[in-house]
Amino acid sequence: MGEQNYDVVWPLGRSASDMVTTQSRVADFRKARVALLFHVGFRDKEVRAGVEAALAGLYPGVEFVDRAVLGDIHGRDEAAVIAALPAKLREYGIDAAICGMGC
Amino acid sequence: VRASIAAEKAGVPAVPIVASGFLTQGRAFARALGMPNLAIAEYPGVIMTHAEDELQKHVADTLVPNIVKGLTVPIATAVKAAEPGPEDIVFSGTLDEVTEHFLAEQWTDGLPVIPPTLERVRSFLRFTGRKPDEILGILAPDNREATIWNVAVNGVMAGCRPEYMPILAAIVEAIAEPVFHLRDAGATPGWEPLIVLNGPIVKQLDFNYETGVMRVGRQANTSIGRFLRLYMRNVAGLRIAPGNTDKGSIALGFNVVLAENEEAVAGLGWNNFAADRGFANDENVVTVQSAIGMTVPLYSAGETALRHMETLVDVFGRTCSFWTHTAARKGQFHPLLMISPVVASILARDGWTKDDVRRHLYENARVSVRALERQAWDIGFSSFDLADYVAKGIISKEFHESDDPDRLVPVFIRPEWIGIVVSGDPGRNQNKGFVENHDQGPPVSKRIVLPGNWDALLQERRKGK
Repeated sequence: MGEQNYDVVWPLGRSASDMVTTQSRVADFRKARVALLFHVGFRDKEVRAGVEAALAGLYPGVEFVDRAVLGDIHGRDEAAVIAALPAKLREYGIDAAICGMGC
Repeated sequence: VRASIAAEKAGVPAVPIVASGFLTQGRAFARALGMPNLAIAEYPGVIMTHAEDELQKHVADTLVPNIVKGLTVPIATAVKAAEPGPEDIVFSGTLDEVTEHFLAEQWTDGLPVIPPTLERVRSFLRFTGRKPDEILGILAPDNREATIWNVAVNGVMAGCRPEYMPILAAIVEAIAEPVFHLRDAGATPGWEPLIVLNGPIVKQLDFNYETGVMRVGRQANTSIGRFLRLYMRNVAGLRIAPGNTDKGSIALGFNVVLAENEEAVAGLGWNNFAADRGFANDENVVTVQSAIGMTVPLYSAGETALRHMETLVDVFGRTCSFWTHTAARKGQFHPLLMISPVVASILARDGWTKDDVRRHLYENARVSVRALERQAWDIGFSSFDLADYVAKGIISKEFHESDDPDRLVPVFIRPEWIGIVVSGDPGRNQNKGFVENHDQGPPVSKRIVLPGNWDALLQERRKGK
């Protein structure tokens, strides 16, 4: 006599995420305004300073807009900051964003 | 990653900076949020251990080139893959074959599961009056629908009895509340949900609330504890490596259900834990909150309340003090103290209410600011400024009465946020404290909704039908 067979169902749930359309990348950093979307943690100040200095050295003319204007992306008001992001990015004419720190 | 995808959705190319040890998690988050091809700029190594010159070298030599690449090289938009429907049969096989398949798909917690057949799932659905396709919430990080149906599926798998179904649904409703921040359950502290159960259902369904209350062994406490971890794995997507979103650095095993000793707490003239949270003492209520650690077995002795409180302040207070730095920054802290029935009886005999206990803990447990500042830096805060948090109203003025770095400040943020549950060995003077993880996993309570024919269904089960 053979062992019993079990017909089983899927233990996950339907995904509620839609695929995000990717955007064109930066054509010329020398004319770009870059958002630095950071939270207060994992040596963000030192990393931001290093990134800004290196990019400014490589691409004279690049501009930065930082957390003081755009908000803390992982603070107590994270949900509100993220919700307000599209409008802020438009308001400040942002061409690209660098987000940190994932540690 | 969340901010980067928000920027991409807003039409702005973006790249997140992610340290090497978090790349797998970052990619899993991006995949769950609909952007599996998101460019990620790696920072090499563990940043909190790098000297300043080493850090700047990594930024210049590795991170910045990765950022430039991520923001200039085109990436393709992914196509959403087809997924099974709830009643689709996804596999057929023997018990061993089902076990191997579920292990390969990462649908189990490493242990064998009861095969979720349609018949078994439907036997669970009989114990709820709710429709199988009712959506209880969207669970992050994987952003999947939590439904009555997949609650039943995972309940079957975890070894629950069908009659646990109303409790399972209430648990999922609790963790699905946005305030619970389930999406952060994969953060490095590795917090684990703790389920607290109150009401007549504790005795009705044979939960342990006495000796060994937190030990695996009683089916109700154990299988429901396992269910929650399994559900978080399968529906929220919180899986440890390889390849997923749980970055609990060391983390913890699942907690069994902490059931309160309803008779003991009523005998003291105290409200139970659920009544403290706004429910009636005789309601069936489930509360879920995070726990990142616990005290040593907390023995307190003596004939007076004050003598017991001295030990509770010392051990529970000091244990919680190692997490005050992050609690103060977030302005939330909900630790939970389990008091044994015998110790609670001495406190009550001396006229102490639960509020008196909470107030005494709040006023007497203290930690130095110097210790908090060191701990805050160690965990990764770039700044830790109690004066700023007080000025913003996040914490009370008691946290900044001077600028002396050796001053003592409260361990707890608010006395009313200290939970108290009476449970454990009625024959021993042992208590235990649980440290909660600030705004990640604050206590969320839900009333357990029983079907109209609950008594008849239970009777049927007891007759073995």
